[in-house]
Amino acid sequence: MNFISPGFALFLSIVFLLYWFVFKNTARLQNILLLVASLVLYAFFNWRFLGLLVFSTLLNFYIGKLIENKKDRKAGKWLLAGGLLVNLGVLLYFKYFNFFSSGSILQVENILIPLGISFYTFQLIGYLIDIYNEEIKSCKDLLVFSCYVVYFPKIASGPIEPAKKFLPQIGVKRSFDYALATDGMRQILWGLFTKIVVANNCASFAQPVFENHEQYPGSTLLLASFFYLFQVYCDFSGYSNIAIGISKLFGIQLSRNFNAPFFSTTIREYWQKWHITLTSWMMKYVFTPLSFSLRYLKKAGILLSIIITFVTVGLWHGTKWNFIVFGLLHGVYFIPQMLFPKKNNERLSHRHTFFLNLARFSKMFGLFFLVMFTCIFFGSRSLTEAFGFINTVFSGSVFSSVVWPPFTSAFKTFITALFIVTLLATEWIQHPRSHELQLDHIKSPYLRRSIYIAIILAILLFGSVMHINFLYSRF
Amino acid sequence: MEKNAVIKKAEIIIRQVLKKEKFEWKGELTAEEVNGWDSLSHMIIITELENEFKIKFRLKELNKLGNLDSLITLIQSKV
Amino acid sequence: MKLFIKKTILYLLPLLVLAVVSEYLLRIIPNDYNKKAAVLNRTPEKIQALILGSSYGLYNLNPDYLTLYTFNGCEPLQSLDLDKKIFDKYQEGMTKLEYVIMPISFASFFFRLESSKENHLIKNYCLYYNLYVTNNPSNYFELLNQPFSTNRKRLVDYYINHTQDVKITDRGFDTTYNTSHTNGPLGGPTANFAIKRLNITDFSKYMELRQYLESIIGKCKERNITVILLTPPAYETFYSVADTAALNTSIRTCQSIQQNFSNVKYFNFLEDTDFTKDDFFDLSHLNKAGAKKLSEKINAAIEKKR
Repeated sequence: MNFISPGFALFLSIVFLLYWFVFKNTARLQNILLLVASLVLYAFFNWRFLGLLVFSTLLNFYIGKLIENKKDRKAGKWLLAGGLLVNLGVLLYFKYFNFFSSGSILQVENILIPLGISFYTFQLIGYLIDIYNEEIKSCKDLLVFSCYVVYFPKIASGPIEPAKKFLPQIGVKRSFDYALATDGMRQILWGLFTKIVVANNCASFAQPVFENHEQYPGSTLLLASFFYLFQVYCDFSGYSNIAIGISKLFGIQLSRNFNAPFFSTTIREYWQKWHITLTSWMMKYVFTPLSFSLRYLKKAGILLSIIITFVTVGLWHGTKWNFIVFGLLHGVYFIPQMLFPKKNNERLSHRHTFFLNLARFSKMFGLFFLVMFTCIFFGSRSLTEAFGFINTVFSGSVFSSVVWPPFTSAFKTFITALFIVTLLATEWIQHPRSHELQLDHIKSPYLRRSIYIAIILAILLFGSVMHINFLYSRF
Repeated sequence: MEKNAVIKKAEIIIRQVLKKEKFEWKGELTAEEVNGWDSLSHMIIITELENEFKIKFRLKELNKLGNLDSLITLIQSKV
Repeated sequence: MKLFIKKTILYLLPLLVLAVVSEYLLRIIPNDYNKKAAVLNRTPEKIQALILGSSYGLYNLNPDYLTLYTFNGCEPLQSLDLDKKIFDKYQEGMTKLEYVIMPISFASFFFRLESSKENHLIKNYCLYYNLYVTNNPSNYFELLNQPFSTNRKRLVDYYINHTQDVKITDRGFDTTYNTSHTNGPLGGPTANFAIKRLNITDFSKYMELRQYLESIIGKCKERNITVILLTPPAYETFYSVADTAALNTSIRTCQSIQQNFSNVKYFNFLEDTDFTKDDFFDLSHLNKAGAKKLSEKINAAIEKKR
C-alpha cells in the first residue's frame, strides 16, 4: 500500500473531508466511512484477497463472541484452539508454503501473499487470546470490529494494534481535535522525510551492493551494511510515522512503533525500541507463555524461550533460512546479559543528559555493529549469499578503496551520511517526545515553521523516489 | 500471611531481580512504571516469588494483574 | 477545523504553485517528441515521405539520403497503434505525401507500448502530440509520470547545467548511433533478450496490431500513397534459432499484405548481404555508414518507381 503517491494523497483528502464534514454526526457513520474507505483501498491494491480479509474478520468476530459466552472453560479452550488454528493455518499457508515446498516434489508456482496478512492475523490472534484470558470483552459490534481489522492506515504494515487500545477509541464518536490533527501532519512530514530522503538515499547505495555483492570489495560491503540498516529502519519507522500521523487526522491514536533504538546500550533495550508493537506481541503471546511453562529450568528456560521467540521473529519476517539465522542471532545476543546481569543504573530515558559518557557511547556503538551484522542476513536473498557477503567483509578487501555502486558517488554518499546524522541528532534531542517532530515546546512559531519548511525543502531537493515501495509491505 | 510480610519479601525479590539498590514500594505501581520490569524480568520475579512463598501461579491469573497491590493480593490468596 | 484547513492550504499552496511552474518548465524542455510534433504541426505540407516506426526506423533511416523531402517520425518502442494515431492526426495536412516508409521488426505485431514496462513513454504522445492514448492521468502530466527526483534532475540539467539530450536532426533522424564502425564484437541486446524484456510471450495482440497497419495502408491507398514495408537488417548473431517465431510471422505478414494491397512494396533486408559488421552500431541497429546504405537503397527503390 503506497502512502507516497498523488493518488493516495487524493484518496486521503477525500476521506478526511467526508469524515469531518459529512459523516461527522455519529460514531457509526464515521466507522462506516472508515470501513468502506479501507475496503476500497485494500481492493485497489490487492482485490484478490479482499474475500480472505472479510472472511478472517467475520470468523474472528464470531469466534470471539463464542469464546466469551462459553461458561465451560474447556469448551472455550477448544474454540480458541480452533480460531488460532484457522488464523495460523491461513498465515502459514500463504507465507510459508513456498518455504516448505521448495526443493520438494511439489512443483507449484510461488503463492502470492495477501497484503498485510502478517499484521492483521497477529492482531486477530491477540484479540482471541485476550478474550480467552478475560483481559478484554469481545466486541459486540461487527462494524467496530471490522474497522479494527481493516483500518487502512495500519493494515498493510502495522502497527500491530492491541484490541484493548483501539476498540474503545473506535466505539465512540471522534470530535475534531486541532492539536492532534496538526501533530498528525507533523508526524506525516517526519515520516516522509525519513522515508523519501534518508531511507531511499541509503537504498541507492545498499541495494545494488546487496544484489551484486560478489562484485564489490569488503570495504563497500561494510558500508552497504551500514546504509542497509538505516534503510530498513528509516523505511519502516517512516511508514509507521506516516500511518500514526494519518490516524491522528481521524482522531485515532495508534501505538508508537519505534523509539530511537540506536541509542540502546543493550539488546534488551534495543528490542523495546525497535518495532515495539511486534516485540510486545511476541513477548506477550510467545515468550511469556513459553517461559512460564519452562520456568522450572530457571535461567536456561528463560534463555530457551528467548531464542525460540526470536527465531519466531525471524520467521515472521521471511520464509528463508537467512531470516531464521537473523532471529537466532538476536536471541543469542541476549545470552551474555542473562548470564551476567549488570546493576540496573538509570537508563537513558530517565537521565536524559545532553552529553554522552564514553562508556555508554561505546556500548551503543558495539550494539550497533552487532545489529548491523544481523542485517546482512536480513538483506541477503539466501543463507549462501549472506555467508559469501560476510566472508568478503572479513577478508583483506575490507581495507581497500570503496567501489561506488551505479548512480552513487563519494559526494552523494556523504550527503546521505549527513542526513543520517541529522536523523540521529533529532532523535536524540527529541527522545522524550512521542515523535521527532513534536515541537510544542518550541515557543517561537517562526522557528517551528522554519523547521517544517527546511524539511519540505530537503524532501524536494534531496528526496529520491527510486525505491518508493515500503520494505515491510512484503510481510 | 499478613500483607506487610508479603510485601517485605516481595520487595526483596524485586530489588534483587531488577538489581536495584532502592525500590520505593507503591501499591498502585504497574509493571510498566517500574524501571527495568519487562517481560524477561517479570518471569524471573514470578519464579522467585513462587519459590519464596511455595505457591504456584496460573498464567491467566498473571495476565489479569493490574498493579503491585493485585500481585500481593494474589500471593496472599495462595499462601 | 477551519484553522486546520486554512493552515494546510497555506503550506500546500506554495507546493502547488511550485508544481504548476515545474510542470510548465518540464514541458518546454526540448525533447525528441515536442520537436517532431512541432514539425508535423507547422510544416506538414512540405513532407513528401514519412517514416513511421520504432528505433529500427529512428536510427536506421536517414532522410538526408532520400531525394524526396522526408521526415522521420519514429521513436524508440513506438508501436503500430501509435503509428496509426500519428498518421491519422497529421496525414491530412501532408498534402504532398507520396510515400510512407515503415520498418517492421520481429516485435511489431506483438508489442504495444501502452501495455509494456516502458509505458511511461506514452506521456510523450499525450503531452506533445496531443493524442488521446489512455485514461491514466499520469500520462497527461510530467510531474505525475516520473519520480520527482527524475524530474528534478531534468530541470537542473536543462535550466542550470544547460545540457540537452536531443540528438535529432531537423528531419527527425536520431544521430546517437551515427558513428563509424565498431572495433571488436558488437554489443546490445539479442532478439531473445528483447523478446523477454518486451514480454512478447504470446501472439494475442497480432490481429489488433495488424489491423492498425492495414488501416494506415488503406488510407494511403485512398490517397494514392505508396507504403514501403521493410524488415530491417540485423547482424547475424542477433537472432538465434529459438527466437525466430515472431520474426517469421512478421515477414510472412508483410508478404501477405504486399499481396493484398497494390500500394504496398515490401523489402526484406535481413537477406541483404551488403550489410556487414562495419555497418552496425549494435546487433540490430545501423551506424552512420549502415543508415546511409539502407536509406540509399530505399531511395533507389523510390526513384525507380517514380
